[in-house]
Amino acid sequence: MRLTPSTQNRNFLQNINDLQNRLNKAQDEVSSGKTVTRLSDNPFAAAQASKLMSVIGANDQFIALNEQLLGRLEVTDSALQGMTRSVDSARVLAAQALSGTTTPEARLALAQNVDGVKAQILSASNTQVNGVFLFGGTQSNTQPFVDAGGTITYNGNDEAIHQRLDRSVVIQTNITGQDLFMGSPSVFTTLDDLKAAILANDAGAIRARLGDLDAVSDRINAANAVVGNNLQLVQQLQRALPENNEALQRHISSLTDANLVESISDMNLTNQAIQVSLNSQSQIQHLSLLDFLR
Amino acid sequence: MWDLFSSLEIGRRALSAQQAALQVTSNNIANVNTPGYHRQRAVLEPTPAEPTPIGPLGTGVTVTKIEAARDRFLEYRIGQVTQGVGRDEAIAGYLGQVETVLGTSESGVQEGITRFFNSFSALSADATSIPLRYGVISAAANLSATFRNAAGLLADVRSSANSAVTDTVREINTLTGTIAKLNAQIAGAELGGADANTLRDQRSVALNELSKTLDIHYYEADDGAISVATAAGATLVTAGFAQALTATTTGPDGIVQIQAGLNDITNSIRDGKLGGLLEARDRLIPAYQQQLDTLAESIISQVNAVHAGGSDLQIPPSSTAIDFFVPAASVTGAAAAFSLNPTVAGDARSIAAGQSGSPGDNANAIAIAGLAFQKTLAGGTETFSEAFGSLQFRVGTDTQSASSRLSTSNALLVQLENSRDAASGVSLDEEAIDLLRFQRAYQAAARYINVVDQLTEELIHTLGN
Repeated sequence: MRLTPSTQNRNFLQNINDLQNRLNKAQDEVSSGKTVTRLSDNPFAAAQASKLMSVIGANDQFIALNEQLLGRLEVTDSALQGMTRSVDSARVLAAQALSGTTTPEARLALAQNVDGVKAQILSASNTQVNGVFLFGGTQSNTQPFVDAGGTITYNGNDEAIHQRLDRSVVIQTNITGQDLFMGSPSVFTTLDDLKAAILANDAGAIRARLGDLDAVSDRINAANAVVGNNLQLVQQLQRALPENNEALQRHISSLTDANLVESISDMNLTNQAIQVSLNSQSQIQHLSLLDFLR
Repeated sequence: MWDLFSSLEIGRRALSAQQAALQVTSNNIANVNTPGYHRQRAVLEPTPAEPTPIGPLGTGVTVTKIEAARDRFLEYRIGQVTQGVGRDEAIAGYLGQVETVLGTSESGVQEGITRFFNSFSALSADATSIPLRYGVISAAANLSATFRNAAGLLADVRSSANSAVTDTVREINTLTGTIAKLNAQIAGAELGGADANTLRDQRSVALNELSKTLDIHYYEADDGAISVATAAGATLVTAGFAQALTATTTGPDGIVQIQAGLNDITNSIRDGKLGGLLEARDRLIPAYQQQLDTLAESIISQVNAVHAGGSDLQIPPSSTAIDFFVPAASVTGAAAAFSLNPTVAGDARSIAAGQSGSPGDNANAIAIAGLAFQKTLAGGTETFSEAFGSLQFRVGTDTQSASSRLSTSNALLVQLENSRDAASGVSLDEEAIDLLRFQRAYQAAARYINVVDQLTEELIHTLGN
């Protein structure tokens, strides 16, 4: 085969170009830490990474919202526990009134204590987090329980508020005041009646109210159990979602991250190859029969 | 009858033949780096022998012609491969730009989609919050802007491919003009029987350049003129006449159609730079635009459908069923027209987060946020962000296959050009040896003339006295 200078030049250029491209790619990998910087570097990995990034982005949002929800559920939980304690103390007051040895003064004191319990429950039922009333249904920016001359009215509604915890789970996150306090027997009416019964020293009525208080307490406990379950569910997701994100992140890394050891050694090898290639070319180019003929 | 003077004539012929051969050799050396140059050889032949009683006696040497080493099949093959190189270079170049538009980090469409639906998730935590509502508006404005931006950049890439079509047609016309002119000159020069080597070299350079721009077939007629036609059969050059292509602007978006005479040949050009440009302009980029538009239209219509069914935060709450985004007039152009309903943008309370009309109701916000996880695209198999991922995958594969085809055909081209050099190129070592050969032959012929001269002198000297 006849080897002409332009053949030699062409081959040399082609080789040097290939090497330069490899060097460039290796340098890119080392400086960016990624094997995939353009879609065409690896279309499958790039598209997968892009889709996975959006899943991670959505999960991040769920994690942040669930954290807020945890706060709200914890406040709800403690408000409900406070109410249970208040109802319990009302029961103690009723039991004292039933002991039979009470003087009118003592009954008056007991009745005033019942008012105190009512105030505690009223306050707990208007609990808010960041300006949002927890027990007002979807009328969440209006104070739900208002004391108008001793009568408590409910300004909220019975609508549920939901929240999406992850891609598939949606739960109801609120307990409405309607459920909790306004159904029969209503806690506020029961306490008013209890107070009247204590003042009137009507043992039968006081016993009946004790039964009502049990019903109220059962209702609060049932609601508290729902909140407790939700708390557990959210906490469990708060462990699962970050783990899920880490796994996705690892997957993206395996798809697109450069193996630095490999990239750096590839860069060095290519660099050497270029130098050797340049050296040998400069020697070959001096080989010509014309130099040897005299 | 043989005599000393005809012996001198043999010497003269030898001198001039070797000198001609030396000149051809030096011309080869001079053109060692000339593109398209084909190595030439002086063809030496003995002159007719003279009959004598003792048999035919040789009369010396002559140069019958100067021949160029040309391998037509190889050159045709190179032309074919060059067409592929031109095509893939053009495609890879333009798709490289598309890739940056829809690429991993630059475009932000993917991130925009995620942020938009996340903002509705955030709003569902407290539907009464005005700051969270502004968060939704800002994410929606950002989503609209990324779609409009991507659509605009895609349109830019397409229109730059379109103007390159016009330039390439001009380039083709220059080349076919050159080939036609050379055809006429070659036919004229070769009437006498000699090869017009230099003109032929120029013509193969022009043919090769033309191959790079579009898919052509050509054949050489007996008179040496080459006829060129596109692969689909439209004549470009016959003998000394070139049929110029015309680039006609049609339609409102200034798309250029290519005509040969009265025929529109735009769709028949498949290869070469022009084929690549047309492929990018008419098939690849429009397909990406359509996919982006479909995605945009389906986000707009689905969000609107849910949003219009909800109630807002006005006092009293109104459920006037307003759209969240400006509805797309058609799927085509949906991405370029992507924008937030000005009513929503102007008043954060008009976002319909609820369904019951109560201020804290978040049912609609949850429903809109949930759209992100519904597989509604590609026949119900892809979510919005998965559909965008698929578009990225498609652009990536198209770009990758164009550039890998390009490197394969480049490697093949190097091999073919090396083979052509082996057949037609100038090797300096070989020419150096030829220099020696002809120089020595010239010296020997001169020596021979010297001998004949001495013989003549001897004769005159002896017989003259």
